Amino acid sequence: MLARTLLLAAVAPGGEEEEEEVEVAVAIPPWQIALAGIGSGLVGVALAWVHPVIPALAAIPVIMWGADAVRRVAGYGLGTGVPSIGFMGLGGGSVAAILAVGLTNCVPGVVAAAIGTVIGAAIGALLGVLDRRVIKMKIPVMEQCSTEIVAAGTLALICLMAAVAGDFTWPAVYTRVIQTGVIAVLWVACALALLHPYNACLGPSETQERTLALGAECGSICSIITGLATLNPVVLLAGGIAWLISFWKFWDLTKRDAADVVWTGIVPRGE
Amino acid sequence: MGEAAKLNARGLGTAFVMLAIAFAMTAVKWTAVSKLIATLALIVYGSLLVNVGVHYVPVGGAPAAMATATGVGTGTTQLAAGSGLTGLIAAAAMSDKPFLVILANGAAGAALMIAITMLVGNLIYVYGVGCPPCSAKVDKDPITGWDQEPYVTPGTEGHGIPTVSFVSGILGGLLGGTGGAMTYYALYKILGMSAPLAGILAMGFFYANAVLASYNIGGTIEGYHDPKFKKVPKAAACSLAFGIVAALAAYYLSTCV
Repeated sequence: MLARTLLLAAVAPGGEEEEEEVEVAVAIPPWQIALAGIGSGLVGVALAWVHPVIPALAAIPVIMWGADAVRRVAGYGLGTGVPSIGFMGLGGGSVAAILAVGLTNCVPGVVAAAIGTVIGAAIGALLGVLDRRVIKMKIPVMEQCSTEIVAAGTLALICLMAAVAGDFTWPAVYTRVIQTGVIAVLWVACALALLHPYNACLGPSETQERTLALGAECGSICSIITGLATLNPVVLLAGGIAWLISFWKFWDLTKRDAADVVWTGIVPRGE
Repeated sequence: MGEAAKLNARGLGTAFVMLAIAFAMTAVKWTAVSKLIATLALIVYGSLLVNVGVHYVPVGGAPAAMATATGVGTGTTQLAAGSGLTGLIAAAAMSDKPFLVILANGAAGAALMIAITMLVGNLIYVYGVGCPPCSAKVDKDPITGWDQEPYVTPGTEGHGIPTVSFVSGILGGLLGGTGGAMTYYALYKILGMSAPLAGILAMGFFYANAVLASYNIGGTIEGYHDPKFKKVPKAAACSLAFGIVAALAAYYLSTCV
């Protein structure tokens, strides 16, 4: 029965005739965001030994990349709500990120991070193929977006782990992030940062800029969490400033996209 | 054989056979066989248990939050994760006990969590919203044989958690908790990882499987009597494919650190 299902799935067409491409309005092309995310993430991991604030802030563009990918795929309607894809991203991402930490025993940290991201992308591609070819979800961009989301989740988790550990090597990450249990907090923070922007902004007036601004804000909160985990005042301050800037940006864009912003006065007290 | 008996045989049969296989697996001395084979067997079967278990949990999603569909009013992933992670923690608390105790504890933890969620949900539906628990997918409850249709508010797909969904949810908790505990045991005992590392990896595997299952369900399911339950083989095929990759990744990780 199972073998037959797999076999059928492999030979049968993916149901393209019923799929419809949905036009998603973008202000910034997705490839630019992806490039910026990968670049900043890898630079952040490479310079983690200088100061933890570098990887902590470098995670922000990575999270924006993930949030943009979530935005593109969730625009089709997943049927189970946006959170599921964010948790899937980090479910596969945590495995790939921990594998990347293990790889630092044999190769330099930044190379391990790059390999980890590729492993994450492979896991994401596998999940995407299973979702579209076997389960038959009617989403043409499922494979691509699932690949990007898991890769972004992996790289973001790697950056945050490097920020908390102060260096991206197995002994440092193992003793300061995994054994202490901080990884669970980073895991959930990353997952929420990926899924929240689109989940909060979705609707007919959703714009990419506003969603990305919220993504940057969520990323800043992740930086603040790494600051709290390490009790490093510089990371806390930098994360706080990044949060203020991104939140003001988001607030401005919210007012821009709103039909009107009016002051209603204080609600009158009842009888 | 009546309709209800068929549904019961399908739902209860699948769950009990899978649980029986899982508990029979505790008789094997896994630490004595090759690490790779033990990891593959335990993680792949654990993934399968989690994936099938999610199909048993009555998930109503947003409609159920407004009491216009049967089930607990939240998403599949959240519900499965809530009960599954409780099972994982319950299993981890028994880390140094025999395999059988770890499995049983994981199953009991997850089933207890989902049972409490459904009970409190039902209290709110009955005494807060004021609607009787009933299902619109079947005419008679397959377990109690009670009529459902007269109690379904027109325009809705049922409300609350009727007996069959409650039993199904507990079976889902047992399956999911057993699967999580099995994955944890493979990572902790067979591959010799530390408890936090094994825990976080088991959590990752659990979520990926739960999401695959929830995409297969496509939003809402009432339990094993729901027609959507027929889609289980597709999700099971996916969990086999993912389980093999996950087991290999975990095995590789244990060799390189």
